[in-house]
Amino acid sequence: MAPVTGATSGAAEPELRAGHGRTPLPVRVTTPTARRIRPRDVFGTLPMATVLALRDFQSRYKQSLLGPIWLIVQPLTMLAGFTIVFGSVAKVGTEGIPYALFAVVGIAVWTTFQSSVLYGTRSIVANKGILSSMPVPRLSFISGTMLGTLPQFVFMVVLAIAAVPVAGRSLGPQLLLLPLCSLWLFALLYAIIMPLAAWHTRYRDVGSVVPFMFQAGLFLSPIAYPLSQVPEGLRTIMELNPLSGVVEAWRYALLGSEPSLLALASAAVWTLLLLVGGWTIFSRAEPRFADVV
Amino acid sequence: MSSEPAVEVVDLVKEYELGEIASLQHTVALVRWRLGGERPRSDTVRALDGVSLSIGQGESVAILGRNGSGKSTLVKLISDVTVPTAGLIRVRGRVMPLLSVGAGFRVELTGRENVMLLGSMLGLVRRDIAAAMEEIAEFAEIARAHLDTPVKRYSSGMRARLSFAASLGLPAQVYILDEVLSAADDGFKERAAQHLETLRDGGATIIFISHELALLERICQRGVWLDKGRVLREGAIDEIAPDYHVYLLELAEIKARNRGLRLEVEEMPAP
Repeated sequence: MAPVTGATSGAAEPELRAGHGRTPLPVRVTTPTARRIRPRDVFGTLPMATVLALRDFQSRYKQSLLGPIWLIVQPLTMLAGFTIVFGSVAKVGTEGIPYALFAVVGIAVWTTFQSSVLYGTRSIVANKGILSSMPVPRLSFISGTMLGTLPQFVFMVVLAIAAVPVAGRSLGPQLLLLPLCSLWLFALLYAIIMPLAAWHTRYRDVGSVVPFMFQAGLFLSPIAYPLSQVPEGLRTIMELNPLSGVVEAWRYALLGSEPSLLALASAAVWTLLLLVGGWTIFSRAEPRFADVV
Repeated sequence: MSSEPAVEVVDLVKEYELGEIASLQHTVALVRWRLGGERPRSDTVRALDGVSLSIGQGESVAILGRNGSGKSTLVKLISDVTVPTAGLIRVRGRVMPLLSVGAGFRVELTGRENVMLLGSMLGLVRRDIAAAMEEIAEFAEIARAHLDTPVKRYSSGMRARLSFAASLGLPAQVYILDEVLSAADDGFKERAAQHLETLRDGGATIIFISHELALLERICQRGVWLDKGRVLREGAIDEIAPDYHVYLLELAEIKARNRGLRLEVEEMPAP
């Protein structure tokens, strides 16, 4: 179909209707190019991604009593667990912020990270049937997964924003940075998912590694505790974790806590490097997904 | 109708990797090779070996050939499901590929939702899909109540009928069918054939793979005979199909004779 194909694709896709030969038909030319997608196709394939995301959303909650309510059960359970373990038992210091409020921000970022990377990695293989019989732009499977995590994401963000005044604190002007923080998070996620999904088509090992990564990642990222509580030498290493910077930015926007500049800088560099690398890997593998999946 | 072809294929080559892409055994072999051992074999197969073809707008073409001759690979490439190893494909208009029955169906979704999904995947707008819905349901002989039932509750015949009806009921310029009528009963086959005739007479381009020569002769004007990834012959369907049929019979006879002699001659020289 038009958006992704076309090394030398002539016309853009106009309204097509059978029988009306008035407008010239769009022409698709396919040659064995190493790469056929361009970065702007990320946006061009969004309508298709929306269709796929809606389909996944619809089918995920079929024959389920609570349906999409399950979306909010997972992060809320996590929040309750963290508040009990780290807030009451281990009494992690959170710079004077009530623990539940502190944790809700990190959990918002983490659950979005976890579900989009988990489903995103599998998204190409999971759509094998469509992939090998339909010319659906492959990028839309990645974007579709990201869109699919939006309901949960939005719920968590609203919860976090609402929790601030409830906890007796006030939101500062830095809240205006939140859209930018969201964009950053999704750019980083896109960058991580692209290569994982591409490798997963050839090597199913990737599907086994990813859940295992989450187990370690959750505790090695400053989700349940602030970076300031980490001992000096270890902290520098943790600041190099790309997720640290993003979580720091989120906490700054919502809670006004002082972010670690090293973490912010390293996350920015990581995001750029991963975007370039991830795009390179994905765009080279994408034309032949149907052959290897 | 324009004189420009709907589908042009020039010197098309498609190679596939043979063997498993990854396995523990394979990994061990790779490590051995790195340590100075023998290089593990990696072979490719040429599914298409230089195919050139031009299909006019409104033309209906049958692709004939034995299993493994490259028919499905050819239509997959025309459908833009995968990319060629060499060569060029030029397609005008929207392609509706029906490469396998019920592929892309989400069994959790209802029949109606699946038709919507199929249409959206081909870039159709909701309104156009909804407009075709009634006709699709009627063609598939699926009652309204069933249309709003998850596809997983459908019989396999119903699934096949819906898949077929949805693909042919949605507007496109080029329809591609790869062996999708073999499971249908004679009643549906007849109606499907009539529907294809209507599409053909309405100016749609049809590329049809089937082992049912009578059906091909009825629907198509031209036949393209593929053998080992090359075009062996092409011409009017009423010349190609009978010759192909004779070839198949002769082949079967030779095989039977060889079996009697306990000989293993795999290939018969093409005529």
